[in-house]
Formats: sequence, structure tokens, C-alpha cells
Amino acid sequence: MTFFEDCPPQVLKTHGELLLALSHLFAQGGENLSQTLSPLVKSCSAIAEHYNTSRLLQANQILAQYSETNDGEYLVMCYEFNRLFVGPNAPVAPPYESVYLSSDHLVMGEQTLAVRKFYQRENLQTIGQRHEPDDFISTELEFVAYLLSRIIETQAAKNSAKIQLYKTLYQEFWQQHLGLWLKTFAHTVSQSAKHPLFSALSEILVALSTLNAPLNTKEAPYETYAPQISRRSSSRCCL
Amino acid sequence: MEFHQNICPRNCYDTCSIISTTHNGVLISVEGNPAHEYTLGKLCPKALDDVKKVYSPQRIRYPMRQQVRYSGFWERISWDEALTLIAEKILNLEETYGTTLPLALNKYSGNFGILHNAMEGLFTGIGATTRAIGSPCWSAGVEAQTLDFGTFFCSDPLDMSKAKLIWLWGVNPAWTAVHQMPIIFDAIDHGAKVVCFDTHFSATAARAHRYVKVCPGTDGLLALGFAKVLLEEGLIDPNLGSYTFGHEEFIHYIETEISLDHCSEITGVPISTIRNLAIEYGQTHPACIWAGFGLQRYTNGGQTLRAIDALGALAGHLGEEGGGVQYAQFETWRFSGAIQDPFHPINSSSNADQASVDNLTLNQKQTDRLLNINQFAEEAFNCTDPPVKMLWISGRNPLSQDGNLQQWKKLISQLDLIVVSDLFHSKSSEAADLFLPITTHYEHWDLNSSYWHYWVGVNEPAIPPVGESRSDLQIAWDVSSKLNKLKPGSCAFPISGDEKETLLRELGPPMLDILGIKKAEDLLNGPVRAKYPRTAWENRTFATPSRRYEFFSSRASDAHLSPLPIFIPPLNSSIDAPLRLLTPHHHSTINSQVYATGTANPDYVLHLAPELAQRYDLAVGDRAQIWNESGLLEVVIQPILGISNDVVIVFQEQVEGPLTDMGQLTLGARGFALNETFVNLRKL
Repeated sequence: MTFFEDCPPQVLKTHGELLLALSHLFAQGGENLSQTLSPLVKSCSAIAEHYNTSRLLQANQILAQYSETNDGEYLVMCYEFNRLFVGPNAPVAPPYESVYLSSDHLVMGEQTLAVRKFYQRENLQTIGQRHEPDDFISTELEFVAYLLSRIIETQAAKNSAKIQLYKTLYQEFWQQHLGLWLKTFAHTVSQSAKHPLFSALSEILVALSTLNAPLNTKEAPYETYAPQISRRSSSRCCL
Repeated sequence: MEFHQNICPRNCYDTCSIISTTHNGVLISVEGNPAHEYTLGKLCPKALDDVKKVYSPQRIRYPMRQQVRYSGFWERISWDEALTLIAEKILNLEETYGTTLPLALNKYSGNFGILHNAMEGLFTGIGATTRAIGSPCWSAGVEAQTLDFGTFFCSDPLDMSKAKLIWLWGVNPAWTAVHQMPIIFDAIDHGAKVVCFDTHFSATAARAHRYVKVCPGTDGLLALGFAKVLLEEGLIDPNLGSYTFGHEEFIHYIETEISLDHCSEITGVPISTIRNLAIEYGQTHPACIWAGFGLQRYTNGGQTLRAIDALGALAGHLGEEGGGVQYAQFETWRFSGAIQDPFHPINSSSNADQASVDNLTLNQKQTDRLLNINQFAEEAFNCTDPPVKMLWISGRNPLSQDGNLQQWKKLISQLDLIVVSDLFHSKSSEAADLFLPITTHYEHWDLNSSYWHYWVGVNEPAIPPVGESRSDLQIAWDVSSKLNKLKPGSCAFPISGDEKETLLRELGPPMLDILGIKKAEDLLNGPVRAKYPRTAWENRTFATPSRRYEFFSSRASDAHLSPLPIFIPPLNSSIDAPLRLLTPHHHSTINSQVYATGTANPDYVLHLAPELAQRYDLAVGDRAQIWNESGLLEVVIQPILGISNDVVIVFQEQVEGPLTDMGQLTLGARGFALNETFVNLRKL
């Protein structure tokens, strides 16, 4: 069983909107939070109200607060976004599946190619994120949103074979990919976030992970991503 | 699976030929090229970690701008924004000062590929600029060998397998030139004896027949002591008069100025050892000395190399197969230079999308302002007419590697714009305003030579650029394009082009002749060995003004150096800093290029003699501090055997230091006397 088995189409649509809003937030980066936060707040509100989850509601209140902040605060949030996800300092939480699941903790690992094959099953390829690996969190979230939209469409068309196809695809993708690392990623963000916005974002990712996880999904053991390479930046050398 | 030819571009003896494997556009693995005579299918730990380097999540993927230097507040910007910022600043400086001299380039060997010289080409295309010249690595030795032999040339490394006696002097190939070890072992299998001279018991010393501990900075005197024994024992080459110049003066100097008692006292090597080793060296043919770079990182480094060269000459080992004195070579680097000179005739006849040079200002015909790379910060800070206002750091991490960090801080404070192009964030990019992500050698075309072996090859891209990274050549084209868009004619460097075609233009007629190929495209088939003889100076005809090996060098004299190799003591320690700090290379890194995952060590490890540790009440694992007037460093104690009581070692870390005696003539600037660093020590 998954959350979508008994969900009315409107709730599924809201789910999809939340997934897309999160996808856009990661795709557009810290520099565009002023554009990507508001849609996230809107979709998250709908989900939080539907499930009446207090943690999600609280997290969304924080998002809402910062979605209406000033330019200076947006800049601070941008810097924090880049510290967590981009660099140039070793990013605390690289937003790529293979960093968490491959043995060497690298990008472009076997997971990246496996995700690409998943997309290919639906004749999809990553063109909007030409410079990003296929297992970039934004792309995986967008793909899940796409599958959800196909479920809604096929349900509307009462095409039971297709409904089952997309439900199966959704479950497989969650079980084999996004569901295996999203919570670990969220925990890593939560542990290192220095701005309330990203603690709230982490809460939303955890809630999403819990909500979307099929009952038999086995999460990867929690393990904070630790930078693997010493750049001597923390050395105790001073002048 | 697809296979690609790559070449390791690190500043390293081996310059390995690599076969990379890709699958679905992803770099899967790298291995040594089995068909390459020197690499022989094997790679060192650094190259074997290349996949991790390429796909490290810590590699920078986008251009980024820092709000305030050292703040850590970075934002992503587009390439167009970055290029516009750079171009507008260059044009603004030119307008303000009437010259582009405020624009400075500090570039060295982070990637030794020839196409990385595009950065020099870009700056030349912009006009007269401020440049870092010289080398932090080998200047004094290069100059010493140039004075003695006339040019910078060594035997093929495989020639060493024919030696009957090998002296590894201040070199640690077991860590820093791993492909030489099988050749040395081959010589051992054929009866050769190997002696290792060093300041500490290295991994190579552990594999030699004999280890000789030498007090740091006294190797030149030891060589002169050996020469004294050769004279006393009548073991000098009777034919010296036919191919050397000034041997009588040198012999007179040895006879009158060098005493074995003094030599033994200063070098720490017993007289009996000096005598026995010298006799063995004089009696064994062929005998090879490999002089390492560490030897010449002292204020007397050039003299040390000259003394060792002279020892080899005196014993008659020069030009003998398997013998000689080997240091390095630069003969296979005779590329056309078209990439670094937009006005090169090759460029005007090529199809490169050349910017119009008709509008070049007089400024662009002015002379560059050249600053010693080893005193760059100090010299750049002192430039006033005009001041240095913009700095581009490429292929370097000077804020980790340079010795004058206080000066760097002062320089940084006066700069309007600092651009760093690199793979990873570094001490230097912490001070940057702009970070430009560059490609690895698996993502661009390049052309590579070694300074040790004689193979030259083409490096081909195996995968597309990771993230938004661009090659140095592409960045140079893009900056020129932006400059010319904002102000037509403002940069003569091409605004676009083809990497492969650009590298082929570097293979001009002299290089084709050296490689023995008819056309540049032939090198695309695989690395080629230059057609030099295996044994350096086999005809004993040298490239000096006298055409002889020069014990006595007028060129040295003209440069206010001693015409003869002499011993000049190294710097002494002081009460405030009684211990000499040495910083040799580690097997897993080259300077601050540390990419291997899973090997992160947050602590600097201080290696020292057990007696010295005891003197400071230190045991293994204790935390301590070394310091001098320039700074301090927290370390963890690791006692080791085979090291003097006045020396401590930290592998691969930044230190302070003066200049070497030589380097000005051949490389335009004196070297970095890295090993003349002294510190104090205290327990924490």
C-alpha cells in the first residue's frame, strides 16, 4: 500500500505540485529562492492541511515567513543553500543519489546510470539539467511528480492497465532510488543547517519521504554524509 | 566500453600514459598504458584515484562569486556574468591607468598540459601585464646543470638499468617516481649496488643497499669531499683534458680548500664512509647519480648541484652508458609556443578565429612586468607605477604553497579583483572574488611532455566536462570574446577555436623533428619517444660556450656566481628557531593537490628523531606546536629513525623560506629555498 491508493485525484495533484515545487527549488538554486519558495509554501500548505501534520504545518510556517523576507535575508539564504548543496567549500549535503549510495560516495555512480535507465523506460531524458547528473535530487523529484501525474491521468481515463503500470513504476523508483536516500539527505541537511529555512526544508523532505514511502520500502541506514576529502580548510594553521 | 588515451598532467617525474575506460559517457576506470615503455601498465596511487577526483562531490561545478573575501558567502553566477565581470574590470583598469599592467597572472604547474598555456596567451593578447616568472621547484638545479653542461638534459631513465652503481641523492622514487623503481631493481638484479643519500630514512633508502644520512644543505660539500678522495686515490678520469674546461682550477680548489675532516664534521658522514664510497664510485663503471630536487631547495642549492655534476665529471662517468649525473630535462618541450603568443606566425596562417589585431594599442606592444614567482606577493605589493589591481591565479595554490603568506595578505587587501580557476576550493580561492571551474585532463584535449623520460603524447577527452566546467583554453577564448565584444580589438587572443587543432599547431617543425614524425596528426595515434640518444652526452660534446663540460663557468662568473662549484654553507638555525623544517613530497599528494578520498588526515604529522622527541618530552601521538616568526602549526608527534636531531619533517605543508642561489639566468628568477626553514617546538 502507498499513500496514493485511496487518495482522491485532487490530493494526488497537490502531492505532485509539492514534488515539483521542491524540484524547482533545487533546480533553480539559492539565487532564485525568491521565485521558488512561494510555490513550495502553497503546495506544502495544501498537503499539511490535508494530513493535519503539526510538524509539517510548523515547517511550512517557517517557509512562509521566509518567503516574504527582504533581499538581504534572501542573500543569506542563498549563501546557506550553496554552503549546503553547491560549494565551493565541500558541500555538506551534495544533492545526488550516488553520493549517498555508491561505495565511493562519488557523483556519476552506478545509481546515476540506473536512474537514467528508469527515465528511458518512459522515453524521458534530462535536457533541462544538462550539466547535472541524472540522479540530481531535482530531477528525481520531477520524475516522481511526472509518474504521479500519469497515475492521475490514467485514473481519469479509467485505464486500469496503465494505472497499474505507473503505480508499479512509482513504487519501483521509490524503492530503488529516491526512497533510499531522501531521508538520509534530509537528516544531513537538518544536522548542518545554520538557517531555519533549511531546517524546515529538511522537515518537509522527511515528511515527504514518510508519506511517499511504500510500506515495504527499506531505507538506507542513516549515515550523515561526511566530506571525504581533506582540503586542509579546517587545519589549525594560523599566522 | 570505450577506451581513451590520456596523460597524467601532474608536475611529476613520471608523466604517465593512461588508458581510461568509459561506459555510457561515464569514466569508469583508469590504468597505466601497457604499451608505454616507462608507464608499463602501472599507475601511482595519485593517478589511480583520478576517477574519484573527476567525480568528487567536492569538485566545483559552477562559476561562483564570493560576497566578501574569506567570508565563505558564495553565490552561483553564469559564465556570462563571470566573463563580463572579468572583462569589464580589465577594460576599466586599462582606462584608469592607461595600461594593462595592473592585471597580473600567477600560474604554474597545477596542470602541466601545453594547452594550459592559453592563459599566458590570453594575457599576452590583452597587452603588457604583470606575470609571475621562475619556478618554485627546481630553478637552482636547472641553472647549475645549464652552466655545467650547456643545457638541461638527462639520460633516458631506462639507461639507469645498465648502471653498476647507483647513487640516489636526495630523491625518493619509491614515493615520487614509482616507475623508476623497477628499473633500479633491474639494475640490482644485474649486480648493481644502490646507495641512498638523504636527510631521513626514506622509503627508497629502505630499498637500497646502503643509506647515508647527510646533514641538510651540506650535500655539495660531501660531493667535494668525494672529489678530494678521488684525487688522493688517483681515480680521476685521465681524459678530462679532452672534454672538460677548467678541471685544473677545480682540482686546485679541491686540493687547497677542501679537507675531509671539515667535510665529515659538516656533513655528518664519517671520513671512512666518505673514503670508501668515493673509491667505490671512482672504481665502478658505469656509475649513475640521480640528484633530486630537494637537494637544491637551499640557499646553496645551485652550488650543490654543480658540485655533484663536477664529481661525476671528475670520475669520468659523464656520457657513459648507464652512468652520468641525472637531474631532469626540458628538451622535449620545444613546442611552437603559438598558444601563448597570439602574434606567432603560425596563428596568422591558421584557421583560428583570430581577433583583429589591427586595433592593438601601443600598450599591447609594451613589455610585461615580470615578478619572481617565489616573491610574487611582496613584489606585486610593491608595484606602484601602476599598482597591481587584478590577479588571476591559475594552476597554483600560492596561499598554501608560497612562503610569504603575510605578504599575500597585504597584497590581497589592495586588489580589486581576484580570479581563481581550479578544480577544487583551496586556500587561495578562499581569498577569491570569482571561482571558475575547470576541466580535468579527462575532459579536454591536451599535449604533454615529461621532464624525466622522453615520451610526448596527446591527451584526448574521455568524457564531457563535468558540471559547467571549462578548459583553460576555452576560458581564454571566452574572455577574449567578451573583451572584444565590449571593446573591439582589445584582445588579440582568438575568441574561439578547436582544442585539437590548437594542440596540433603546437607541434611545429622542430618538435616533429625531435619526435621523428612527419606530421602532427601522427601523434594522435599514441605517445612517441623523442629521438634523443638513451645516454646523455654520449659523445662528450656539450652545449656550453666552450663545447666542453665546464668545471669553470664564465657564465656563472658573469652572473656574479663562483665560476667553480664551491661549498657555501646553508643557513643556520637560531636560538629562537633551532630546528630545520623539511617538507618533502608525500606518495599520495603533490603539494596541495590532495584528492584521494578516505585518506583525509586532519592533523599535520611531525616526524623527528626519538632523541629529539625525548628532549622536548614528546611521545608518539602527542600534540605539539612548531612555530617561528612567520606563523605556527599544530602537529602530532611521530618519532622516526634515521634522521638528525636538528631536523623535523612535515610532508607536503606550507612553510616560510628565502631564495636559492641560482635560477635567475635560466628561468628568470631564483628558486625557493624551501628547506632553509627553521622552527621551534613545544608540547601542547
